[in-house]
Formats: sequence, C-alpha cells, structure tokens
Amino acid sequence: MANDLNPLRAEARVERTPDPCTVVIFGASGDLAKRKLVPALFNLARERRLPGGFSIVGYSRSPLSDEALRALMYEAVVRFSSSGPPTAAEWESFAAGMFYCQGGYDDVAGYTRLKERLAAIDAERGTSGNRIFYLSTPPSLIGPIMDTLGASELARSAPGSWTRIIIEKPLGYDLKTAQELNAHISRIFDESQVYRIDHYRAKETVQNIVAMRFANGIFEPVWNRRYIDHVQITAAEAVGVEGRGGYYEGSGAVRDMLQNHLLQLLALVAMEPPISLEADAIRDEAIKVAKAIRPLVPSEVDAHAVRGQYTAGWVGGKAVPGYREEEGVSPTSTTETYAAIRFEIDNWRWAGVPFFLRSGKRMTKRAAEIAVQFRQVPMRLFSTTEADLHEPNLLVMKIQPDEGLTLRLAAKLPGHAIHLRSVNMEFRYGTSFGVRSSEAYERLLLDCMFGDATLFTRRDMVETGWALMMPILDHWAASGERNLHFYEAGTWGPEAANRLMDEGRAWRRL
Amino acid sequence: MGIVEDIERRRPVDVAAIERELTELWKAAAEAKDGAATDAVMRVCLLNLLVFITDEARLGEVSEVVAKVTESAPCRAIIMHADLSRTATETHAWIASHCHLDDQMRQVCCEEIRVAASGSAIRYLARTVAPLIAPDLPVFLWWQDLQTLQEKYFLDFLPEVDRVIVDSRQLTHRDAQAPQLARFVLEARQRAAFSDLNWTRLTRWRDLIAGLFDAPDLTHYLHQLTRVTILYAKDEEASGIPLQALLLTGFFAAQLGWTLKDAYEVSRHQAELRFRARQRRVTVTIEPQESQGLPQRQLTEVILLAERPEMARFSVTCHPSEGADWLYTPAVEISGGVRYHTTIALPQLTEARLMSREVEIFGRSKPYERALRVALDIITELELDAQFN
Repeated sequence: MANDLNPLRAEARVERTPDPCTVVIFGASGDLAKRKLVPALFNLARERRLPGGFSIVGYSRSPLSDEALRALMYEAVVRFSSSGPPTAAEWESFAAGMFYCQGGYDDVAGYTRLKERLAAIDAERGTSGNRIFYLSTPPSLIGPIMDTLGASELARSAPGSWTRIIIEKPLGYDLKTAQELNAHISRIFDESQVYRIDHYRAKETVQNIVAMRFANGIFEPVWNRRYIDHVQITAAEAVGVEGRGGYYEGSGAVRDMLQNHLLQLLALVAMEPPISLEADAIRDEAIKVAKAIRPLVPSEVDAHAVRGQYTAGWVGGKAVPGYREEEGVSPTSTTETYAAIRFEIDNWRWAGVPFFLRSGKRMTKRAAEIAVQFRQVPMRLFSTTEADLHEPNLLVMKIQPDEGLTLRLAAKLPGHAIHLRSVNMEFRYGTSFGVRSSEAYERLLLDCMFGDATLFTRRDMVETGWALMMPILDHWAASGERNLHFYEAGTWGPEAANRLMDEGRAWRRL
Repeated sequence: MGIVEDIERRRPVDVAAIERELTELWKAAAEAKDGAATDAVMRVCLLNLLVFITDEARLGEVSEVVAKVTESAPCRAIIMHADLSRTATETHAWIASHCHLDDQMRQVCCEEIRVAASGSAIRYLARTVAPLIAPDLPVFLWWQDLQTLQEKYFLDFLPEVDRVIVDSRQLTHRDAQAPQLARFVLEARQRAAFSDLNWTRLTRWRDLIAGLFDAPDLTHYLHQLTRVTILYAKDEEASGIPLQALLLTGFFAAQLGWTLKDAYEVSRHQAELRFRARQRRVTVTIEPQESQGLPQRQLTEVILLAERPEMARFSVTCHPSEGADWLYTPAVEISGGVRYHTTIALPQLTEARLMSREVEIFGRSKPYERALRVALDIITELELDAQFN
C-alpha cells in the first residue's frame, strides 16, 4: 500500500486512501453502471476516499465519446447518488478522470485501444498501471471478456502494480457451470486477483455480525447448541420480478438468494472465531462451516425444503399479478419465487440446531434478518397464564430495511401480581450512529482498491454453495409441479413451509 | 438527518434530583406523542459531553452546537456555566432534551443538563457534575476558557474525563496563553488525552496535502522538500503568527524528521523558520494575505517545493465558493507541467462539525502532541529572537 510509505499519513487519524488506479467498467452504458457503480464512485470521491488521479474508463459496444459518457453519468449521479447531486466543481473534478473506449467484448483491436488509453492515463494521471476490470455485463460475456483480456495481456500486472477483476453474480447456473466458470477464470487470472461481488456481505449489519460475535464476550459462551434452539435467516421482498421475468425464469429463489447471500449469512453466524481479520482467515472459517452443513439427499428434500410460487394478490395497497402472469414468464412455469430450507450443521458447536433459510418475492413486506432463537429457561418459575406473553430470548440482526440489533428479554409487568411480558432492546444504526452508512457498492469498490477481499466470495465458497443446493434443485427439476406450493402475493409464503418447523417452532412474522 | 427540534421543556431542577427529573422529562416527551408508536421517542446515549463556559452569552451558541452534535453522536450533554463575576455561592440546574428526526422520521432525543455555579460552588463543579455523568460511556470535556486551565476546578475534572477539548483558534505566538497551553497539554497528557479544535481544523489540510504525495512516484519528493510557504488570511488587529500555522509547520517537521535551527519574525505577521533535514535545509515562510472572504487567520494556501533534481510544486489552496462550501484546490506540478489539479468542495468548518468529529475519537493523538512540541519550540525561538533584536 503506497499510503503506508507516506510519512504524512503515519498515525494520522485521516482515512487512508487506496493506491492511484483506474477502474475499467465493461458494460459502461448499462443499468448497473448508471444506477450503482458510477454513483458509488462519485460518493467515494465526494468523501475524498479515492486517490488523486483516480480514473474511470467505460468500455462497451455503444458509440460514445468521453464527453457523451460524462453527460450520461452526470444524469445518473444526479438521479442515483445517495449523497445528493454534485455541485459544478465536484462534477468537473470527478468527470475530468472519466474516459470512454468503444469496442466489442471479444474484439482484440478494441482491447488494444483500451490498453493504449490506459497507458496514456497512467502517464497523465499517475495511476501507476493499477487497474480494476469491473464486469458489469451479462454472464454470457464473462468468458469472452476474460479471454480477450488474457489475449491482449491486460490480465497481467506490470511490475510494481496490480490488476484485479470484479465479477457480478450469477456465478454459474449450477455446480457444473460454476466449476467451469471458475476454471475459466483461473486460466487467466490468479485467484488473488478475482473479486466475486456479494453485495449482501457489504451491508453494515452483515459486517456487524463478526463484530458482535467476536468483540463482545457475552455472546460466545452461549453461541452453541446448549443455548440456541434454532436460527432463522430470512430475506423477504415485497416486489415481484419487476419486468425481469425472463431472467428470473432461469434463476429462481434458490439460485438468486439462498445459494449465495443466505448461505453467506449462515456461515458468518455459525463459523468459528477467525485467527485474524485478514480476508482469508475469515473466509477459511466460513468455508469450514459451510462444508460442515449436512447436504440433503434426494429422499430428504421434500421434508427439508419447500418451494413456492406466488399467485395474484395484494401488496402495498395494490393488486398484483401472479408470477405466471408476469411478462416474460411461462404460463406453466415451475420456477420457485419462494424457497425455504432446513439445514443442519454437523460439528460440535451446532449439532442438532436447525438453521432455517427462506427467501421469497411478493411477500408481506421487504425485510431481511437473522434471528437467533435461544432455548427456553430450563425450569418455568413463573406462571403461564394468558397474561404472560413472554417467549424465549431472541437476538435479531436486522439487515434491511432498518439495520440494527434487537434483543428480546422477559420483564415483569408493573403491579402486585407477577406477570411477564417480552420487551425488546433495540440498537439501530440510523439512530445510534447519525452518520450515513456506506452503500454496499461503495464499500466493495473501495475494498477492492485496497486489495481487501474479505467481503468477496472465494471460489471454494461458490462451489460449496452450489454443491449444497444441487440435490434440492435437481429434485425439484425432476418433480415438475408436484411439490410446487402456491402462495398468494402479500403473504409470508406457502403454508407448506410451516411443516419445516417442529417442536413448537414457528416462522417469525417480521 | 432530520430537523433539529428542541422540545423546549427546559425547566429548573434541584441538582440532587436531576436523574429523577430527567425520567419525568422523558415520560412527558413520550406522552406528548400520544397515539404514536411506543418507540416514538427514543432515548439514545453514546457518550457524555461536558462543556465549561464562563461567558454566559455563549450559552445559546453552545446549546446549538450540542444539538448538532447529538444528530451524529447522541449524548448526555452537561453544560456548565461558571459565573466568575458573582461572589455568592449558588448552584442552579436546568434540564432539557434535544430531539431530532432520524432518516426514518423517528424522534431521537438526548438530554441536556445545565449547571450554573458561582462563588465557592465553582470550586466544587467537578463534584457536582460527576454523579450526573452517564456511567460506562466515554466522557468528553470541552473547556472553553483557556485562562482557567491551571485552576484546581479544572484539574479536578481530569480523573473523570477521557478527553479534554480546547480551542486555540484566537491565539498567536505573541499571546502568553499559547506557550502556556502547549506546556500544559504536554505535561498533562498522562492524565487525560487533549485535543485542540484548531488542530482539528487542520485535519482537512493535512489530508489533502498528504494526498498529494500518495502516488508512489511522488512520495519521494517529501524527502526533497526545500521550501514551504504557509499563507493565512490577514488579521490587522491581531499581532503574531496564528498558532494554527505553527501547528501545521510542527506537523511537517515531526512527520518528516526536520530539526528546528532558527526562527525569526520578518514582520508583525510574518515569520521565517529554518529547519535541517538530513543533508538539506528547509525554509518555512508563514505570511498573511488578503482574506478574500475567509475567516481571519485561517489558512488560505500551503505550497511545498522540492527544487532538485527538478522543480516540483505541491500546493493546496482554499477559497470561498458562492454557496456554503469552501473550495480546496490540490495541485501538483513537476518541471512546470501540471500533473494533478482538482477542486473539491467541502463544507465550512463550523464548531458543531468540528465537535462532531472530535467526539468520534478516543485517546491521545500523537501527531498532535508532536506537532505541538515543535510549535512550542518555534514560539520559544521567536520569543528569543524578539528579545535579542
């Protein structure tokens, strides 16, 4: 890190900045670049988190000039920047480092022009040959882009500089294609150069799981099978497929959410303490616990996993169509818009503690959380009349929309008689720390510039995730409509999901 | 963040009953929101912020600063007013709550306790206030009267606080309080961490200047610097070099390993300081220029030159914008060619903004202490020069 050599930054309380670099966005005229990437980079620049000379090169097939790209991105930043529109001076400064290069994704001549442009930027703006290639393109283009980067020698780092590549999900369609994709990547890039984005990991609360577990001594003694009854991990969306029916038909809830995001959350909740906060130390522990998850065999799938699909209903005060009536969706589609799975982890800490994962579209409301349900006290000292509404302790890590922690405790109601009620102790980021949390993409882009891969998914985690999901996906694919449960839009999913719960457990109403 | 909304339920209370009265205050605030959700009023506290003033006219401003600070750092604020002009021994207290709406339109409230003391009661302020400090949370003490830093009633606070914050903004090297403050902080640092808002104002400058040298091929110029010019907005009425400029010089010297050789005043507002850095000399010139709309004595431009093997010029300039921001222009020129030049708009440094930043930091700042030591050496050298010339 160049900053470490700058004596003016030694022991200073100012935030360090990454090495000067250029971010090359493939698919620069696309939606992701406009909605997320460039606004995130602008916010970082506004907060002075980017190095001097930082540059962006947009690359796509569209015929655009530097000026046209800047105009396009100005509109995008005005519309999508979470910190507000830029002032004239801010934009002038940011846009001065923005360039465009036109070319096909498998066009070596285009990449040669890109290479020349990057060399010129290095000379003019001091970016020192450091590059990030951001593949903001459909999955089908990942292979051609990587091949051409390799062929044009852009994948290699010049001495004393670095080259990194960021890849968006989906990382394969199944285990086989994920392995093929990873093998393809590894032929051109070293694993240390590869940053697979999982924007869920960059949310404050997700990072706070590690802080909460390993910076607070009170949790570790009870973080095991003796005290925890079960864990529920939920990612519920109120929206449907939002005009992306064609994409979703080839995906579904398991591929879209459970195989990556929810499994990552499970790993963070269940992993052993890492030996350090180094990226690989955390990822080593995460993969260890992921490998300890007991895979389902085909005969167990119906008992441990439930899939559902929404029908027409009512969400947010509006009537909404069923999934099969959405644009781009087959009227006989069996794609799951809801999935719930019960997993068990075969290790000493978690043996016998079920982990329930669920995700769905068109549910009652948008909410994502991890709920750790503790066991009941061993002996009930207090009466259990209808006046007593206390339940076992519960620790909820809320991821969205209102990031924070809630701990449920039992307390005595005021009065002569002893009646108990559950009360919540709440910690909310928005009220406790009145500072704006970084957007996920801001955090991830900055981490990549620093070379910190902690929040990115390593190859082995991707493949382990797929390996766990394949028996379920294969079983469902072979079952036609047999075990597809329909649920009305605006509800918490199909009734059948309740059967995954037993021994007095129930899905939480969020 | 939402709008600051003072509930305006300030009321006099018996000092001994403040905790009980605060509970009542919260109850009343919640009742005022009848019909709303049970968490309509959230009481949040991350730290204690104690403020000491002797000038009653500052009460309103300080209360506004506290209200702003609570938006980003919910706290229990205790504002102490010592009335040095009155001899009667009296203590009065009031409580109030500062509320703001968070980004989800929930009302988040923090407490403000005011304690006014006069006569002998001032001597026991620390004892009066200690029981009111929210336990297990960091304690910041913003001491606004630099002349009373040697008083026992200030020293009595040190065991109770984690960090003392002062502001040397008005001081120049000719003010007797400047060396006193520096010596006091350097001696007292074992008992409590000290910070100076005047140093915090430099954070932005230090960051921008450091940023000029982040590129690996530019870092080495830091070890070839020969001339530094620090310009500040002129103040005809004040005499002497602003302490802020000396702190920045001290920062450069401490971080880059320069040793002070001599210092002299070119004029009432201008000084030249000479340092030795290994095999070369570094000359630092501090001089005023027309304020151009910036507050008096604020830094306006810093230029760092490396003259060999080629001319390299690194600079940061500050000028006001049409809006509420200040515009900073960091620039690098190598052999006359522009290597880097940009303009960054940053909000003006209000007291509230500075304090919000201060309460994020715990413990001592070694760069500050090192810079302060060099600044003290420069002041001593300038005093000696004045005596003999």
